[in-house]
Amino acid sequence: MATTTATLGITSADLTPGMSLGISANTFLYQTGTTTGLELLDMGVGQLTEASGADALAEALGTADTANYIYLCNNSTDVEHYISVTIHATLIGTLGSEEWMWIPWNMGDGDAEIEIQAEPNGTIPYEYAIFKSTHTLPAAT
Amino acid sequence: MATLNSTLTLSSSDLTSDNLAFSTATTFSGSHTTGLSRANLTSVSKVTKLSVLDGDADVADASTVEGQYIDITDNHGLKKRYVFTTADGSGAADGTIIVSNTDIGSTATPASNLIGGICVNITNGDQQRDILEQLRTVINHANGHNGSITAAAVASEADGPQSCTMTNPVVGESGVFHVDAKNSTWIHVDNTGDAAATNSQQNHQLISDKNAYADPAVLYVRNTSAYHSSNNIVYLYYDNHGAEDVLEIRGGQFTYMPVITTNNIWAYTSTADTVVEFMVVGTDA
Repeated sequence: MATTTATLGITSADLTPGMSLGISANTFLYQTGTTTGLELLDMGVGQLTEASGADALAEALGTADTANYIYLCNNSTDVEHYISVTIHATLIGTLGSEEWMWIPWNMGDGDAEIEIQAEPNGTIPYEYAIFKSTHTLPAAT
Repeated sequence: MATLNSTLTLSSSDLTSDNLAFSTATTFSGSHTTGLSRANLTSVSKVTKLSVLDGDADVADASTVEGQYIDITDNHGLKKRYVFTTADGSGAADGTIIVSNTDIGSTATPASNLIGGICVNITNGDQQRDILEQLRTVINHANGHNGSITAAAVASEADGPQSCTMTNPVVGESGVFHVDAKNSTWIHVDNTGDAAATNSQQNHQLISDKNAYADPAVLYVRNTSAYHSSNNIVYLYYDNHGAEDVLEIRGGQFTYMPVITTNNIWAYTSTADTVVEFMVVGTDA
């Protein structure tokens, strides 16, 4: 079993008056249960355009209630470029230029499709990684 | 503007043939924050129900409840105050909207905070279950929520807590309503927090307040429990019309993500007494 560690650090010297902020959180990327070791990794880069509308970053294929994680980064340096991120028609947020997000994801839920959309004009480069417990091949056509 | 620095590091020596050593960092400019907060989640459901403490307990003297009320708000924000009047006095009938001279039983000058409320007219000797059943018919009344909430019939009188479950009759809309059992004055409400008690959005934890921040804002959430595949899961949902869960965060897991500020984000859990840690950073709305 592979052992993968995710560590998040959040700091600020001036956000909270009179004290600096320093948060550190880390977790092993467990498979379902407490077995360490997600073994499936899908990662890459791409480009979004507004004209393409909403695209599915990943289909919600897989076994329900399994452990999965998504990393997504907006690599544009143009502050006017942001990516809308939606889970099953619910807009969860907009990812600004050079910002990233990290979420656990219950991909096996049929309502869990992750959609991303470029806003507004222009081409937005992005990178992503999906750590998965299981993988279901799409049906042959 | 203050600067928030965030870094995500992913590392593994055996996931891929090459070592995985990934690190990404970003800065976020924000002026306001909730600060780092923790909350103990107790509600294990998004089902809305209103419970009384003891279904077969008699309320011998209805006047002891006269003027007491409970506030219920549907998923569109329609809030109604249901006020008890006494039939043994001369209290106004079920569904009557209270005005400044409405007789609520012992007086025709109701307190100002009752004006606009909807009457639930009860009788000496009613059991708590009967009062709850009568209340639920008034919730469904034309002057009550009038169909935006479907309040289901209460089971036959029984010992112990009894409840009325509320749902949304519109397909695709949320049944997460707000029953203000904390600030309401009806003394028979079961607000103990146990499995049989009243449960509504009031029992969920507000994680991100839509009125507090302008877009963009960022959210950090961590489940402080130990990992378990099915216990101590933190569920997050936006209170839009569907109120579907958008994230499941198991023990030890965390998220760092952008959030929109057009809806609140709420949390509940799979297992009572799950502690969630959270912080929102943004600019003042």
